[in-house]
Amino acid sequence: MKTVINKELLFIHFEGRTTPLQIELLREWLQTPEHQQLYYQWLQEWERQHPQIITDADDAYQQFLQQIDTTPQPVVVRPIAMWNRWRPGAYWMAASVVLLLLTVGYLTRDYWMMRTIATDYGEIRSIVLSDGTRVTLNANSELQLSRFAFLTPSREVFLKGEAEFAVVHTSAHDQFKVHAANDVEVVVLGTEFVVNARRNTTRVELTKGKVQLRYPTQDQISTLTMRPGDWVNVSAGGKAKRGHQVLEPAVATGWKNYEYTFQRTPMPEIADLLNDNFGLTVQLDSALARRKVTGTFHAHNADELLQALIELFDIEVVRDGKAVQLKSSDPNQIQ
Amino acid sequence: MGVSSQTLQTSVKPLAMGDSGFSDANEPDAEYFIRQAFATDPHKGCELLFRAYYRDLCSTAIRFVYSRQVTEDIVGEVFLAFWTNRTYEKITTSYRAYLFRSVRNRAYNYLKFELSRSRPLELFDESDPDSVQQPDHILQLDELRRQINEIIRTLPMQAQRVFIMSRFDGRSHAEIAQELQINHKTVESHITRALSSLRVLLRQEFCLLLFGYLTL
Repeated sequence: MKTVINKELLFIHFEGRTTPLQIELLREWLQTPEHQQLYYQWLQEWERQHPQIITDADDAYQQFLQQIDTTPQPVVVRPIAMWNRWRPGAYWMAASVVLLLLTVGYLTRDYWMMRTIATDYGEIRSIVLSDGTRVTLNANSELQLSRFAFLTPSREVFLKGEAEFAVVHTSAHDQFKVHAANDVEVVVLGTEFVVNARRNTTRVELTKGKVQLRYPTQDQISTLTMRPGDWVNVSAGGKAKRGHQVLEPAVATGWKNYEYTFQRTPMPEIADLLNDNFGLTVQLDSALARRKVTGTFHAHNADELLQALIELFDIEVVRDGKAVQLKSSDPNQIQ
Repeated sequence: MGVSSQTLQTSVKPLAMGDSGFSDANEPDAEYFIRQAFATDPHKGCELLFRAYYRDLCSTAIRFVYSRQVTEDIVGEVFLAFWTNRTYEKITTSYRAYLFRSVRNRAYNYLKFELSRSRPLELFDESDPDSVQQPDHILQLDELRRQINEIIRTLPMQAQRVFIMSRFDGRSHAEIAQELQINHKTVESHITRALSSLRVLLRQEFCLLLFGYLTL
């Protein structure tokens, strides 16, 4: 009996009842691109006849609409009633003044339309946005937000550095977007998460709720949905790594309480942290550079953290203002 | 079981590759209107795609991941990427094939990530929507789905109920324990056993897929 490859056979295949020989025939049949198209046509038909789940397509489409970017509303300039009393010549002068203001306004829009909040080295600041969202900025970080944005449905901020966000969920399901390094966009509906956008990597850790991450790869924009406990690292070039850890929010946000937790953290990373948060330039000797640190430290400033490290390892510190040199006191000791 | 004589109607005919891309004698107009819509208003085009395929896409995904929430996420992500990358402008083959292929791949990736915490292979370059797949990729996914179905289907009845209540309905362990009048620990052990069977399966499938991929 010669087997014909038709819809009926594919339906048997989708049910999982095809024999290995029939599958071999399918394998050959699927070499042709048109057959692949046909495969998916019949797959869809089969799924239609055997639905596994009841869903609402219209509802899903509405959610989709909210997720895609909406174009900003154009600014409308209304003529003021006072012009009726002006001489005709003044009309043109007024028009050119308005044009000049609009141009200057447009060119300096980042300055007056955006509100910038910045922290110094060693400074941690908490702010509440007009929609109730709480943002805690870590040291040496900058948050930019539009002055007027929070009156409109799209809430967007730009982050340099590190911050924790506790986003308020609005009844209209308005999205909240964080723009971070590497053109990464973090889109949220109402949730708690930490974004670390330092150096060339953006790291997002999610504590509560749901977050959608968008980042550019070579030819396209990739999207990832994160759930509580997930973390994602995006480095330059759109390389993303993701993982999941049992929820220990204290670790990600310990810096809010001046608490630093290290888990087999290499010293160079700690040197980076000292630079990022406190503005110190730290040099390590080769032995120290190979060491890893585990533990939780309380430190309100750089001195306290350095002190803790000095006591932990047997090291010498040579400090000259913002430049710090760390050497292990026994250079023959290799970790 | 014999092949009935009615199947003559649906046997494969040689298909013409016209300028408009794929056209099928059985469904000449299926995607024509959608394509027209995209030419004038992409929002409308997407709406038509949702109406036509959303439910079936969810159906196909949930056979892999068994979770309603995850399924809706995956299908939503596929549509979002489709929009953001303006794939509707580049694609010449059927939207249906692209969407189904994309959803199945993401469902597989999700399982790989969830059950073996490893980064999955990128089996589908979504930026090239007309690219031709390896038949093996399609068939391996079918086989995986078949085996997932087998595993769940052959679970002892109570274990099967627990697994579905937890994963599909998203109910908590406490709720399940109460509703079925069983011990909390029993609920956990049912779920753990089911997941570990799936994990073992995924590991095997991954090796097979990897082998297939390497022998290209």
